[in-house]
Amino acid sequence: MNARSLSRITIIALVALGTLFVLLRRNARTEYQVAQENSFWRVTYEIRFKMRDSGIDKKAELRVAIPSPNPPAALIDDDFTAPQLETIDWKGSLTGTREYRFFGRNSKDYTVTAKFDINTRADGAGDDPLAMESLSPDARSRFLRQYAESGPRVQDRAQAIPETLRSVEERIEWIFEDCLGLRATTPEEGGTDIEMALATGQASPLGRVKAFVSICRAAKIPARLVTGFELRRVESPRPHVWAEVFRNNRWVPFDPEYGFARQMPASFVPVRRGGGTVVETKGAEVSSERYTIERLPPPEEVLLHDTRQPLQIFDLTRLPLEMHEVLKLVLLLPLGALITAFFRNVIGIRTFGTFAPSLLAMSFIYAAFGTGLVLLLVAVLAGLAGRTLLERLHLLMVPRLSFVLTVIILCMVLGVSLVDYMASTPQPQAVLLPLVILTIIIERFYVTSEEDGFPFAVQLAVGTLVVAAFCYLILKWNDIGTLILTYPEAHLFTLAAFVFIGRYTGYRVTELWRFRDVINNREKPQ
Amino acid sequence: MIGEHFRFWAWPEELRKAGVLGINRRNVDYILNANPRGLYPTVDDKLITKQICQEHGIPVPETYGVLIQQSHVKSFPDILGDRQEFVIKPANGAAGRGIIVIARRRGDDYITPSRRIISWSDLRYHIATSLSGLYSLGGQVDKVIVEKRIISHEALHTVAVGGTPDIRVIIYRGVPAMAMIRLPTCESGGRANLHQGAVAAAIDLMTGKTFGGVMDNRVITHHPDTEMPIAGIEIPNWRHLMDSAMRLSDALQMGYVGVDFVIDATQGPVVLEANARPGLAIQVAHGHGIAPRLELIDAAPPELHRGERRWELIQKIGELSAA
Repeated sequence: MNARSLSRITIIALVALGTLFVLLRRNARTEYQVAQENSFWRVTYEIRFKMRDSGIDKKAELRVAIPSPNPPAALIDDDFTAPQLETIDWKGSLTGTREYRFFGRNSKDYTVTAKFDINTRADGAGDDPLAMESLSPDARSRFLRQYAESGPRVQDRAQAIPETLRSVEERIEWIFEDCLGLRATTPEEGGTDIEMALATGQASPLGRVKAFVSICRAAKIPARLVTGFELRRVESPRPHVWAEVFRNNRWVPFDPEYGFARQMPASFVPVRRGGGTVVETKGAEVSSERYTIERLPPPEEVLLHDTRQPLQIFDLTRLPLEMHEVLKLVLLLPLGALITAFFRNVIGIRTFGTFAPSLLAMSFIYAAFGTGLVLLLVAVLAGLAGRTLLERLHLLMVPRLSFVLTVIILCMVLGVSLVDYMASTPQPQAVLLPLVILTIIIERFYVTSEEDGFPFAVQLAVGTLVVAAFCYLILKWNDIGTLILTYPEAHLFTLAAFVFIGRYTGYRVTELWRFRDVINNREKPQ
Repeated sequence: MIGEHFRFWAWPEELRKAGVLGINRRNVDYILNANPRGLYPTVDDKLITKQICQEHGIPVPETYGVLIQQSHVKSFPDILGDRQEFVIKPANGAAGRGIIVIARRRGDDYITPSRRIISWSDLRYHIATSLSGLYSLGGQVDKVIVEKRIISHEALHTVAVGGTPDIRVIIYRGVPAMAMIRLPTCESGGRANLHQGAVAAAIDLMTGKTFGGVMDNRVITHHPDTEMPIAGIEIPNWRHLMDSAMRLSDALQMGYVGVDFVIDATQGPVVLEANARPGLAIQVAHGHGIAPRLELIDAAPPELHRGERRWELIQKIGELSAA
């Protein structure tokens, strides 16, 4: 197989491998990320009740509302035990509330236990938490209908909404602020009477949210109550009630008690909509209802994530943070080399040395641009001056290079001290200009200007600086550094690019200029 | 020349049509393919090239001595004896680097053809730095050759200033593909290096007559210093030179090689060095590219790559550019 096809196969193999590795690692990372964001909770209802004796054909029933979390939260498992009871799964058409309905005939004690497992961020789904839905005329009239206990004070509040508020949103906001302004009382003290609350200016949690819904309805804005749970560890959890207002085809949550508006935290899980409690009865008598909320342990992949396993070797982000900067810079170096290769082989700009531009650029990253430039100038001038003086001494090569190196180092260190004396203390890394590279560049600059003329030496120096500037721009790019640190296997693409440039046989851009006279001559009329 | 057609660049398509070989393609398709890495020392080290030439009866400048270690520098005057003129060259120097030509001695002073005076201490330093590798490829320790100074043939005197013109023949798979003569100028400081400002003229492979001309990659017709036309010069002993070039390329076993000659007034064409990465400016001197010639050689049957029948191929190459 000849070199050309072998190179092509190498490029394809490298790109394929790179893509495979990056995709695999990316998937694994997102999976872990999602797994980490997941939070699992179990809500348990334990309800004891007694069926009232209600005649032969009349069934008594117990209606237990099922939690229906808003995305990204989701109900991942539900189960119940209800010995000796008939059961159906029922969904309300107006509110969308799901219920288990239990039927019994005998007047005896029953116990229903239901448990619901909820993930507050299932699969990291970025779904819109508020689904669009239409409001049927039935539902509309249902959610505009005033509570029986609402009276003239509700109407007064609704009329107090200033005329200047033009948008529905502004009016809802006004009502919300109005209800937030009510003073708080304990549930027992304030009661749930809306008229009383508006009259006295103080309300229980339920009274406050009912006042909000009621005023919204009086202002012709469909609104409803939502009963649900807040998922958190608490001794004896009680349902929490908030409101939803219909606008722009969505039921938008407002919580006048806690002050959440337009969005509820994922830990608030709606259970029953449209008013009412979690458990409702018809012909039955609840003797005790007990709720528990407990957290479930995270899945194994989260707990075992940092156990030692060989694949972790590829994950450089697990290394101490202090190493990241250095690793990033080192990992970016091949990109600098790629730029240099591109400039030399495709553009045709000549430089001193192969890696000098990237190393110079790297030192500039370390030294901060201004300090680096000053120090580079100082070092180059001192080095060139030293080298010129040395020419008269007729030294052998190794001692001569070492002499120049020492001069450069002295100037550099004193330069740092000078910068410190004049202004602010430079970064300690400022001293890390690639001194050896610099020494060799200076030597080659000197020899080149002697051998091939000063203009040619300057041309090489300018070429080196131009390429170094481009390398600097890439190395400076922090996002790229982070990316390559996360996916070091992306350098398989860099390798492929090197093979590609290495087999590039087209003209260099500068050759279009260099060989132009071949064409100019041909076009010359004979 | 500067007319409505003059442009500052050429499109890649135009260069391709003109058969111009670019550096990348030269490296990938010719040098990397045809020149085995292991044979590079035979051309990079002028001493080895010289030995190969001598083994095959190809004329080279007479060697006075070789300095290998720093301690040899002391013995330099002994090597020299009472010779007045000589050349010092690092064995691994690239592109004529580190070469010093001495035309005359006066006491401890050495005088170059351009009348620059080099003191013995300067010369000694030059030899010492050459030995430590200042001019060698990659900076390795080097050897220094002291050899006979070539006095250029008088046919070339009108177009060479301050130095010796040399002739470059590019040989591909044993067949000369292109040739040019490089003429020193004031700008090049007497050196025959194109990137230092020397002038080049193309040479017709069959007749050995010059045509075209280039300086700094630009077409010219007259020598910038002597103002003599650079076309129409007949290279002395051309057939002999071509013969040496082909025999050297056979001996070197390099597929793509440039061989540099100088024409000595008495000895005729002598080999100075061979080059595994010959430059591409030769194409500008010719006014057309080398690629069609290389392709013609590739397409020719193998028996035309060896022996005297190569001249048939050279003839065809000549016809190629005439067409």
